[in-house]
Amino acid sequence: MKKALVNQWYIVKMNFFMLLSFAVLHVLQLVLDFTFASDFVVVGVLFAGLFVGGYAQNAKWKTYSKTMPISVFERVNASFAFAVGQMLIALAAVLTTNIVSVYVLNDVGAINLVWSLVDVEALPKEILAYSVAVAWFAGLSILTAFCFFISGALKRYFAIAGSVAVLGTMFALIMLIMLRLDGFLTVFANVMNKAPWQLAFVVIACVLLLLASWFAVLGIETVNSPESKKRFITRALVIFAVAVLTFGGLVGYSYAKGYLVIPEREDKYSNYPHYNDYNDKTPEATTEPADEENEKRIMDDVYGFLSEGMCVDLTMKDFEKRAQRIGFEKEGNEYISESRNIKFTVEGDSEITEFNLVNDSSCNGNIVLSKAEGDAFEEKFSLGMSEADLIKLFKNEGIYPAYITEYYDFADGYDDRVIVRKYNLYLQQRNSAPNRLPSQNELSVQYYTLVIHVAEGKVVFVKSY
Amino acid sequence: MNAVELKGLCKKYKAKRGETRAFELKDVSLTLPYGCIMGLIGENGAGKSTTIRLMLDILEKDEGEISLLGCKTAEDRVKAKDEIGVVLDDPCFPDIFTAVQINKMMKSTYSKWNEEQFFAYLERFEIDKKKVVRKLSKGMKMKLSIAVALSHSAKLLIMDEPTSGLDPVVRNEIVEILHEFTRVPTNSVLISSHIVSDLEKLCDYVAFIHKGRVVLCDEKDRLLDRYATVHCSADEFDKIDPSAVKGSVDTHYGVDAVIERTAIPEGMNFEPVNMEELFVLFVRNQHL
Repeated sequence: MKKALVNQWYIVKMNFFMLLSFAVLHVLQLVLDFTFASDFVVVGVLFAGLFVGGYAQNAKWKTYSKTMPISVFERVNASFAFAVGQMLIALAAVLTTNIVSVYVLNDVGAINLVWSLVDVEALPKEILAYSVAVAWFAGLSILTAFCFFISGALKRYFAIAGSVAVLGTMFALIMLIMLRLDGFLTVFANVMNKAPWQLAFVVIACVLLLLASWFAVLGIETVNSPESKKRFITRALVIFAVAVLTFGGLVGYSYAKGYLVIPEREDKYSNYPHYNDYNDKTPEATTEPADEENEKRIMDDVYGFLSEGMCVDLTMKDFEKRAQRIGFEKEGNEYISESRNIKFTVEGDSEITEFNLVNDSSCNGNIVLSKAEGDAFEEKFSLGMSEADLIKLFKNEGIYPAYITEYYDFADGYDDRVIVRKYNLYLQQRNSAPNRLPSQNELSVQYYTLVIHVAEGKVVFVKSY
Repeated sequence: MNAVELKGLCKKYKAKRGETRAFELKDVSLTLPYGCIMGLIGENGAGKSTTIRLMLDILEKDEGEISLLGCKTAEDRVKAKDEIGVVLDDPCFPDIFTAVQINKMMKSTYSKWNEEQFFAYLERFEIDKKKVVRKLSKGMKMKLSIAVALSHSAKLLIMDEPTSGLDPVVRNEIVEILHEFTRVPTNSVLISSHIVSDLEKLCDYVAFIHKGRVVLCDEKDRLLDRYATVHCSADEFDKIDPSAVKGSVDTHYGVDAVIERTAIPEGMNFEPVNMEELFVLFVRNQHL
């Protein structure tokens, strides 16, 4: 076993830089602070899994190793040990970088340092996050392809085809992560929460899958012993079938019991400050009388939701789902929450065209609040200030643009065309540290639109909506 | 006792796209006694490498028996490989390794790995032990493979085209090393090549492989004693017993032929045959 493991060491060496890049890029991901860190752990494991057949990368060496006094068991065991080792290394890399970034980088303000080095503040954060994710996967894919090439394992056209396949898979994974993986993880967590004993079945099924693949590889690798080959392959198939049945049974049982509920996309929604409080409570619990502070919190959240709901181009269907999730009942085009004493109407066909808060007796509402906040900022702008000063003012007030749309207009009295910038703004939450960008979790839901007209480099018109 | 025994070894490949016929190794039987060197001679694609790969269990045989150092099952042969040095046609060490790292790896693989001997070979072959494999020339890589094969007290060396693509100086050096190796009476070598002149210097036994079949296998000296080359006119050639003719070629001056010495007509001039002539004319005869 030992000697076979030593023979696999070269693969670890070959892939080491890939793991290193994984760690570096993961740090980058954390520094840029997008919120699907848990997905990266999963993808890390998936990616390491691509190397389960690691030694197969080098066919020449694999051939040569068959001339050595190493049994097929030793070779296969070593490969599996290598695969498990590599997965552990990947996990260790992720955990280490997490710990480093959370406990070290934050404290020394490295995030600010990075942000100041890279002038990305003006860019929408989501676009940055997506770009980095794409770059991350593309980088890994290119490295994978490079590994195929240097290993000399595959013929060139296989390497190219393999690289394309890897790239395609990675991009597909990005989409999967962005769209659904959070949901799947939530499903898993939900099932485990309600029926923790099912974890035992998951573990059993995983062990069976590992065992099945071990037998399969043994069968493939066994040479000049047809009986052994047949025996190993048969075992692999039987164990694989049992593993599939275990998984299938688990899923079927969960579904029958109602544990398996695919959640809606709630990535943005889950960022609301008190979302988890609502999510954990049963509908009855939310109808309990709330104290003043609690009521304010609820109102903030609801109005935040409504404001967000108005601004992110939700379809009517998505809007309806969101409203119902936090306890609004729909009657025609009216949404009513008796416990919160709120009613609003929404008009529109597929997309929202009109939104009206009908009952706002307890508070002016976020829509109005946003407008009020916007007005407050509007007063601080002085016409004629430069655009650079305007950006500074934003920063000083803790405002960070989320989306910027830009278009041109012609206005009387100015020689040049007037640049009209429509800023959709987040207000920074009060409890985040000064001089540091808020993370997505810290972002307030307060959200409004500011339209700024700039002509000849000067602000000529500001209006909040 | 024989170091290598092959009986009725068969292997059939599936036809690749564009090929009309699949390659097939048919009924290969060979015997290499201890202390001898056998050369597998054949043109490219004749089946030399396939035979060697089947012997080493790199490929799965369809039929036949393989015995290496007395071990007849694949499981037994795993242990026997501790005493078998192998040099494949394409040097197979990972490109990113240095000779020092290869030494470490082999030390934990072979029970009788001799570190001093390995480094002595490296010095003799002038291989930079700190240079990674990919930076070595093809000759150097081959020498490195040979150094590995010779550094674990192997009793049997199996070499697949170790001299192909190498310059004559390096090839000569390898021939010398193999001579040194076989000075130990129990050491044996099975070497394949299509460079017949190299094998002629080395081998005690030769086996001609042509289109997947062993067409001739005997002691080299016996073959050279048994056959001769004649240069004669077409009329003279017609008088020779056709069954004694192993190969012939028409030239501007008549016919060149390799025939059994016993069948040479009285008075006809003949010359001792060399392995290259024997091989070339033999193969031509097989094509006819």
